[in-house]
Amino acid sequence: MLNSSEILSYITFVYFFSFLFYLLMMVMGKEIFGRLATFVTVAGFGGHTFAIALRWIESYQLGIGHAPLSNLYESLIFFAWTIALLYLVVEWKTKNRTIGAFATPLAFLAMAYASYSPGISSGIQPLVPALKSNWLIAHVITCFFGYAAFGLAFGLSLMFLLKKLDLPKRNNFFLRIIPESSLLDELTYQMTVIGFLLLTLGIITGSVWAHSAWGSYWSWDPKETWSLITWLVYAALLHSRMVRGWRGNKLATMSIIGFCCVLFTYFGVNYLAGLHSYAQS
Amino acid sequence: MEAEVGKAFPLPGQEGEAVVTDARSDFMRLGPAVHMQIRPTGGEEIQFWVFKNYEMINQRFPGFFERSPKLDPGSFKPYVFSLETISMRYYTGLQVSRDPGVPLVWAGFVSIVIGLFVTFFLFHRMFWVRLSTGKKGVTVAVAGMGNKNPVGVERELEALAGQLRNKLEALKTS
Repeated sequence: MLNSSEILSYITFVYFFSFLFYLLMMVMGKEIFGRLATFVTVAGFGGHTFAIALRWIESYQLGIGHAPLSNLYESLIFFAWTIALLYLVVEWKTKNRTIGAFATPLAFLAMAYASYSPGISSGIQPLVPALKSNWLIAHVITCFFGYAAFGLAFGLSLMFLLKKLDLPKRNNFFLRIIPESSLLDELTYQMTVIGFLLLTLGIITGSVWAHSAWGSYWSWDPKETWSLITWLVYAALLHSRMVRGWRGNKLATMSIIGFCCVLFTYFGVNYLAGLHSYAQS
Repeated sequence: MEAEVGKAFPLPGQEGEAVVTDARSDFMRLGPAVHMQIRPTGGEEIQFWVFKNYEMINQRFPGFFERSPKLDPGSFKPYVFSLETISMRYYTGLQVSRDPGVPLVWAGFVSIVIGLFVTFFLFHRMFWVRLSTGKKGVTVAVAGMGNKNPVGVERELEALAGQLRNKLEALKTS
């Protein structure tokens, strides 16, 4: 019988194949690859969900018993899961598969980093006393759905910038199949709104939890500071669109900058000392 | 005799006073030890460590205690100190906080979330349809205005105008 982390290391390849099929669909222009890609992604997502549930059960069998959201490995797995889920919802809503070629690689990379990076242990460890709280689940879920929405917004912004290269004389199939700019622009905006609301909720749940665990709502630890910076970047993006009517290149660039801040909030601050140190390994 | 960390006691011969300043259950991986300070009346203060496992250390590392006066339990003549046992007392530190402002903070959090929902999903917008008769027939003009989110208003107007155009064209053909 396979254990959860073995299953998850195989799921990594499933996401890689779905990325490959989405790419083939865009390069070859064959609908069949698109259908195959969706099928593989849904199957991968099903297996992924199963493995997370299994890991939860395993932790109870070990007598530790906590939600699989407690360290870098588990958070990366959950991050990939939220990206896959959110992408499948977007694909279902927009009936457009091209976004998959930009969303599935994010899920694949997160899974690969979790499963194959030597510095990340996949074992189930008991919870650090500071994490023993029901706020853990609320905080991690809101933050990671927020990150996933920003991840999709990042993919859509890349598509938007690529679409600019699509000129009639170039006749490049890959670029032509990317949906029209206005749809990408609208979707980027919607994803950013969702991400922003969830990041706000994540910061709020985090600070309520910090108040009960450490006695202070906000301690200016590096992760808190960087989540605030990320929040401000996306707030600026939404503000410039709602008030100044900015769109297109400027917003796509801001969304890419915002996602770089998300990545720094997630990974970069591990190199700085702080209260969130249990998320390092 | 018994001594408490940090509490000075007079030496039996009245040469001054001694105090145990530190106690370790395992010092330098050589077992229990205490740090002592002797303050002779009218003399230089001296400090040294006293190990419990004197014999064992002397056997394993001959000359260990002569290496430095800080390791020699006989540094203060004519006394030689030895450590019989250390008993540790454990304590728990508790922090207690009282926050009468918690409901206010919660109200703030809730209003942030409500405010964001209002900002993103509720806004005023107005749409006009103007019919004007010209020489060729009736011209239908559509216009819209919103208090924020110009991009959203534009998209909504385009969708509404598209629906109107489809309806009018359907009427024309029938």
